[in-house]
Amino acid sequence: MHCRNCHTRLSAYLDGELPEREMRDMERHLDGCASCRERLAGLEALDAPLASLSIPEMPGDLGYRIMARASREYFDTPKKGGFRVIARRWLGSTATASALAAGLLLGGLLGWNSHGNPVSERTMMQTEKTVFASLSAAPGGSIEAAVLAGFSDGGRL
Amino acid sequence: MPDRSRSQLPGEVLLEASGNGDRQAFGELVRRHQSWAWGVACRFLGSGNDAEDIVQAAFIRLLGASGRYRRTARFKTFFHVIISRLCLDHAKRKKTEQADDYPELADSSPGQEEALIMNQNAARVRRALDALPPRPRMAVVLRYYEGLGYDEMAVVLETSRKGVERLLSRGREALRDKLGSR
Repeated sequence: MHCRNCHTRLSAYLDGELPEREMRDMERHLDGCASCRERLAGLEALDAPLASLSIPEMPGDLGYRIMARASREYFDTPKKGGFRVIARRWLGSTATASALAAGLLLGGLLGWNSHGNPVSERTMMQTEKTVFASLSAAPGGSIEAAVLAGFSDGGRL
Repeated sequence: MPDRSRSQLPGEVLLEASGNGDRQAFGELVRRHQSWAWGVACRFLGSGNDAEDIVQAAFIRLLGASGRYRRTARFKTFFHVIISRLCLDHAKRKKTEQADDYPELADSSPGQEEALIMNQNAARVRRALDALPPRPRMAVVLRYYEGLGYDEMAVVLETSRKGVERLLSRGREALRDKLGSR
């Protein structure tokens, strides 16, 4: 083994992390090479100064702050995913999107029914009624909310 | 889940329970692991303020990743991956502060002289660690202070055993040049 090869493996040799055969090769080389032994001793001598490294004391309230942040950002936050959440986010993005969704819902109902769909006129009217009732109940409310109410109550569709 | 049983459960089970909304299980994980997480972050970053941000972020990320956790990986390895990544990302963004937590002592009376030497030695080690590139520095922290083997370090540092060998060798050689007398 050449000294250059030995140098690159000294660190792993020191940690006992080389395969058995390579460990034996290293030992044989180190037995006959004072320069590599000195290099190895230099690495071994790092243990003491590194062990002397002190760290600042951990803040006593760190655990409390982690828990408070976890509550705020995880436990007390609605989980991502789920149709209603996605629908709410998507529909809530712009007023235009809300109006579009309402139009699609009502248009779809009418179109579906006109092609002999099994959806009864009664069901269709109930859903429309739900949407318009929501809008009437909260005149300042958004179309988005009304459409979502329609999804819930008109789930029979 | 009764409190007493939580303190006896392994981290893997507590993490799954935390992900399902069990605050007490998460509290137990925090109680159990905040101290070593603090140690890893402080030794790598050298600054208490930065370490606090990283430890908090690591626990929150742990919670967020709980759904992806599979029991095939040891909990502690999983958490080491998270905190190491956060530390390395932080190091990329910001140059670490240079030994601000180790002020020089003005007086040098007998008792304080010893403290001064210890203080200066600690500051020297800190500066030598700070001078290392982030990945070799993390390799040194994981090996010397966490006692991780090469296989586990390879998982945490997202490299091969050979990669770990090179990182550690590079870190040690640089430290020897700065700290060693040989």
